[in-house]
Amino acid sequence: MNSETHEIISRVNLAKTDSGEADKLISDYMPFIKAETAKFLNRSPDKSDDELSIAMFAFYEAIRNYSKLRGSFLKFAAMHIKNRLIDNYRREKRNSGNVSLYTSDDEKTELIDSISDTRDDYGEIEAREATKQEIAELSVQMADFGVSFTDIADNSPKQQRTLEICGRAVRYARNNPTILEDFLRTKRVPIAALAEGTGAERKTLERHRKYLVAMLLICTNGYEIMRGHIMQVLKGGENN
Amino acid sequence: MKYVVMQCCKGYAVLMDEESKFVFAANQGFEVGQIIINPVIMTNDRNDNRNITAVIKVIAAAAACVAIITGMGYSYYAQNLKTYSVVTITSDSAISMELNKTGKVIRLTSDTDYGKEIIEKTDIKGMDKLTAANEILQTEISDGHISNGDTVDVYVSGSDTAKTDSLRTELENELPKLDLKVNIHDGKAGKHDKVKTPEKDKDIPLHEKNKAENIKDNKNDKAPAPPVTTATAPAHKHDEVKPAVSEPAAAPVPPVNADKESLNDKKEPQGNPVPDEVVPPVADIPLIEGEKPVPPQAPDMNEKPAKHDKDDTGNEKPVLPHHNREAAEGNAEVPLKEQVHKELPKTDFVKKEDI
Repeated sequence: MNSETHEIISRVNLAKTDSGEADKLISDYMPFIKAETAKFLNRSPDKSDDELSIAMFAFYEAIRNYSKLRGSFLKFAAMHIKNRLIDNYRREKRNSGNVSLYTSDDEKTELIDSISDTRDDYGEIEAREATKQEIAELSVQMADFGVSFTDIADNSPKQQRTLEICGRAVRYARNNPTILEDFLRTKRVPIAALAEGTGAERKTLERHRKYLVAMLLICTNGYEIMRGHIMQVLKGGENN
Repeated sequence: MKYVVMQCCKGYAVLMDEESKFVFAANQGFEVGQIIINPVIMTNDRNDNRNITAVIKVIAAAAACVAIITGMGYSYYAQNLKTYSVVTITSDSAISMELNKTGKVIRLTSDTDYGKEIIEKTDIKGMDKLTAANEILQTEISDGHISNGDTVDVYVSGSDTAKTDSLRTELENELPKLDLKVNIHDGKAGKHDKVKTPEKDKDIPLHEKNKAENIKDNKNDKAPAPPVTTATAPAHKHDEVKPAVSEPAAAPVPPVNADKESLNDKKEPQGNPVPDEVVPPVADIPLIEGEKPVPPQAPDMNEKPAKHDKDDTGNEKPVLPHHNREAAEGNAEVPLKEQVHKELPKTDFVKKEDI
């Protein structure tokens, strides 16, 4: 029992930094996650249930937030899953006045069938494919810098003020192509030049180095869709 | 807000919002590149708060530990190391014993070499106050610094009056067991408090004692003792002035003007010891056999002064003090003191070398 506890804790500690190990741990503890979801739903969950995906996400959150002070990991994870499911239930309850598109009056035709579909599904699929390609390219280029999306999500600014400082640095780099060229050539974030050019604290930029790598890469050629998505951020630069 | 799915894993997905913020969200069957509107986003706020709480708990525990250790340390210090009272034995050793709350000797000090010697020689530190006091006095008795029947003053001082009183009572009860006369006093001892020996002349003041000793020494050397006692002026004009020290019978008194003598006597120094170079009046000095007495030489007023000044004609004239010069020139009145000084013979004090 004691050795099992130690094994889980060591695996959890490993999964905190390694996303592959986290996926493996989630797969291994899938029955536990399903059991906890079933306790909440009072039925066995399907693969398509949102509750199950939220429970898996809650399990991943528990992995990231766990420390020895919190006691047994499985109890901590169970509590986390339960809380997440309750939060999701409350959020869904707020939208309870809305009618689902998949409800049917006469059990033959659903509501969605009666509404005219103006969306261009093919265009949407093509756009998604193009975005997917861009993201794949970005992922490969980021790997050259030793950065993954999980790292960036960990390193992303949380406060609005910090986000604005980083956005200012990105805009400054975009307006000075030499900085971006140096960045691609040396594979180093020009923190000193960015700090000097924007008047930002060098320490602040240093803390978000990985995030700046992703953002500066997006600013280089070849990532039109991504740049279009964050145009709001990049537009601020044009105003400055 | 719209989110682009950047990465999909089994338990979570990484999304990027329109403000270029990357977030973790629940992977509700997403695909990379998909646009999401209302995802379930991971929040870490609660975790951070808990971390802060844990840090605060650790700091509070550490502070409590420090407070407990400090309290215990202070109580130990107050009980064992803090000085509550001081007992000073004013014997030759002049040892001061600093006592703690329980009456144990924690520190010993002495200004005298003998006291320091006793402190080094005996292991009094840590002893009970009475044992330590007995030990010191017995050591002094054995060393011969105190003899039986001597009086020793013991001073007791302390911040706590009740404690000091009880300490005093204990000392009063216990110390008389020695064959000494022990006087216990409150307060601190003076620097010159010493053992009082039961001698006949113990009440004679120190300067009187010294005078007697000087007389004794002078007699042994066959030299007259200096007049240490104050010579009083004669009640009558013709009264003879008797010197304080007995005058040798053989010494004839030279004829001296009585008035002048009485005035001279008045000018004698009062009480202070006579300087080495100044000897008593010639009349008091015993003469060697066969030698004729030399009458005191009055100063020759016509004798030229050591320093001379020259007048307009080139003749030398004596240099006088400013006011004397004025008097000589008739510009100022000569004060009475100066007049008396001039009239007086200056032979009362002669230098040793002259004799």
